Amino acid sequence: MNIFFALIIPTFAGFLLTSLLLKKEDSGIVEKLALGYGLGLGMLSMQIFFMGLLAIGFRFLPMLAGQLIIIALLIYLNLRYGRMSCVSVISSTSFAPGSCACSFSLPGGSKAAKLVAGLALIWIILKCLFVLYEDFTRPLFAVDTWSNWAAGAKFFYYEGSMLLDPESEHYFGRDYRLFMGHPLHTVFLQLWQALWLGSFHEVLVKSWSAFYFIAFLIVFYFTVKRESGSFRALLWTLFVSTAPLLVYHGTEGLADLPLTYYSFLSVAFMWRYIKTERGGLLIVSGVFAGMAVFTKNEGLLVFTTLLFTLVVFTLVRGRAKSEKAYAFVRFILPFVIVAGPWLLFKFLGDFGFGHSGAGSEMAWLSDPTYAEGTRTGLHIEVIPIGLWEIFVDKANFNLTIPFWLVLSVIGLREWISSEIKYLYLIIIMIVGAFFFIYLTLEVTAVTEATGIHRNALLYLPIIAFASAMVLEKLLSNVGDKSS
Amino acid sequence: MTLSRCHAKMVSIVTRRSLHRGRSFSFCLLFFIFSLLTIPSSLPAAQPGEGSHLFDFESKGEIANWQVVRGSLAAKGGVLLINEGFFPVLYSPGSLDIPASESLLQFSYRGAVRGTCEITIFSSSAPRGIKKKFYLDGDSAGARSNGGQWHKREIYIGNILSKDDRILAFNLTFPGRIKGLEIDSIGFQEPGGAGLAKAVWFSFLEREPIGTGSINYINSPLIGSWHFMTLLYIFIGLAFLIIVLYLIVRKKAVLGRRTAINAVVAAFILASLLFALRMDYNWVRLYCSDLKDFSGKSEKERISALYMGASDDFFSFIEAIKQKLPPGEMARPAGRPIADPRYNPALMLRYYLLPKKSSAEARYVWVYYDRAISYDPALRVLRQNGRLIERDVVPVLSTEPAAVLYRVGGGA
Repeated sequence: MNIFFALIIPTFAGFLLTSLLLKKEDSGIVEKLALGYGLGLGMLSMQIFFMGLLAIGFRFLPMLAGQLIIIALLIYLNLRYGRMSCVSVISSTSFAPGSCACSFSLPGGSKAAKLVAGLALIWIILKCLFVLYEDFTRPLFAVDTWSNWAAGAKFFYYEGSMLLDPESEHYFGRDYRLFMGHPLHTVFLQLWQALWLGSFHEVLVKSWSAFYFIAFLIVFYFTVKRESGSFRALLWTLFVSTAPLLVYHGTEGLADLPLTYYSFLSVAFMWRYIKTERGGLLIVSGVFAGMAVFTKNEGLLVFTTLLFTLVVFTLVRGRAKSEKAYAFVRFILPFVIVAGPWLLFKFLGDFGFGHSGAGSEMAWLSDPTYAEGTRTGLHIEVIPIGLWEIFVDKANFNLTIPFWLVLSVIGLREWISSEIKYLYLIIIMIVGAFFFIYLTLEVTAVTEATGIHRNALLYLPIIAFASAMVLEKLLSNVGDKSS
Repeated sequence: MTLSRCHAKMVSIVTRRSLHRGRSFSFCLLFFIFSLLTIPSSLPAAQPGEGSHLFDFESKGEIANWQVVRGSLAAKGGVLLINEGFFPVLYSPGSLDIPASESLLQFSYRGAVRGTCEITIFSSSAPRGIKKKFYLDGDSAGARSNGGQWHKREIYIGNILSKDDRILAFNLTFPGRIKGLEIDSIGFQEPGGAGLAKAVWFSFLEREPIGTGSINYINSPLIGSWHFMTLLYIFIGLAFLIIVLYLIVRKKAVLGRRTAINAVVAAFILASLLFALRMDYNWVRLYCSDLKDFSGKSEKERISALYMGASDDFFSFIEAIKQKLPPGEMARPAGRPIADPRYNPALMLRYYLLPKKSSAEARYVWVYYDRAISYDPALRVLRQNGRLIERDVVPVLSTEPAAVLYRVGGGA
């Protein structure tokens, strides 16, 4: 039971923040809860990080007090600036437009469509139940989960602090945190769970993972639904939920699934901004990009890509300088608030981005984990190997990527002439950045398949979303012509 | 309900509800897939074809040619017995010279062994060996009170060998800590037509091993020598053509962009469904085995099951160190400990020893099954490969002869 409280409390805080940030948007309670889950856990890990910096002991009561203070503050802000009435914080939003709290009906017009929707929904629910079962049943099993993320959490838990004494042998978890430059979000989530449980339970400390899977599917569904309607959104969600690697990650306490969640949302809100130009959406995009950085180093690729996309978008739209500046501030400031302290701390501590104990040991054009004596230079061999890995040798993503490629060719006219081109810009930049890293730095990520697939998990939902948008355009265009 | 009864039920549902109406595609597809799943159970067991090699371990001379690394081997009434082993590797005799056409490896076994096995085949075209993993679903640990059941396992190896290849030797790596694994026979045989179909089908349905490694990818299953993904691409191409023809002939559609788009989408949807059904079948298998291995067990039992019982002794050692270390004291490995790719004792001990910490300055050092390290009780020193690494050392704890905790300094 403690585990659920451990998740419900930050989710409620996240829900309140979502209600505040999206007060002018049409999000219903289910979507807000799914968004609030990630936001709330993000605020929680930020809180723990600050407590660690301020040398406030990692004990249950101070942590809980911190959460309650955040909740109280958010309730006040909602009542003061949000759309909530004084009567009840929850009841005012639980019947908001788009909410499915009061009524539920299967999407689809005809009986056959309803049958398909029903089967798809059952399939998705079964998948979620499976992920929940595995997450709550298996102990931490992947070597890099326990030896890195969980080892850091377990050390902090028993140490009661981040041990920021530079004289200490285990300063900031050294030796236990194999990669000192790796961000702390999932480490702190395990620490939080352990504090609620009263011990570092090898199974339950990762119970947040399955809920990231579920929350991700929900936000993906609502994002597609806004553009394609509920029936197609449900099918797209089923399609994405059958990606085996996504399911696999939902059962373990790694950081890749939360990264997928935050990255997708930062892109989704940027997309909504591009379509509507409502500035508040940029703030949310910036917050999620910041959380992506606080979850994994790869989040920086997402942020820089989105920043570049915003530059291109504002140049193409040709707005006044003040308007442009305001847009950038709205995106960058929340990002800096969320990710800035961590990046500053990382810079000051010289923890770096690489895969060794500490320091910025980037060895350009040579992968330190590649076989000794291997030539240095651009490792072109990763391209054919990478393509073989992604398209043939492994079965990680269902047919999302080939389908996207085919749609991109068929719908070339459609996506180039619409806002969808910005999604393509994001995808091309992220994939390009990864391949640049493979070509120059992390060769074994491809040749030994240690990174290429989990990296692809980051852009998988963005590709699926872009495919949904292109397909929508294609179907509406051919529909228009036929009518 | 048996598989065939499920099948019969499915037939009646599909016939009544779907085929008459002719519009419920989903039911038809599920029926088709379900029918495929029932095929193997109705096929006859593979009969020896023209060529076959059988090792039945009836004579002691035959057993003498087999070896085990990381374990001990014995003969027991026509049965090969691996008494004890830690990820033991069973080596066949060399120079077998078995043609690759005998592509069905069969063996019958009894014992507490569950998890991912690996076969390495040394052939004329691949003298350094080709590996194939497969899941062995034997008895779980402690389920052998009445001697356990004999299990038969068939592994199709035709997809990793070339047609004219010859098998020179092979080895089998069993998972985890093995105690009393009996092997009645190992054979290679040429499958007949039905046998080959069955072997290929089962090979396709082979579950993805979920081990303790990092979560990097899920392998594409093989159908014969073909990747499932490759076949799906072919399927998409064929389905596209058939759907286009169908739309033009039956629906009087015009051959144009709209028809092409509809056909592409439909072909991808069908292929995605096939993909999802096959890959989700992995999760069903995983769920079933996890239900046996993890459900309702304590945290400690689950960790034991995770390592297939192989690390139980190691965890006992860690627990003993935790109890033994005085407050404030820490531990460290002696010298440079071994780092087997399957498990890294230093990394594991550091993690599982918490809340007791590890430290490079610790006064307590541990040695766990490291043959390179020896203790000289007369001089009270530890040596690694003959080189002195610790002085003034006394053993303070030992859970097994090769699992010892020493205190450094402080006299006897």
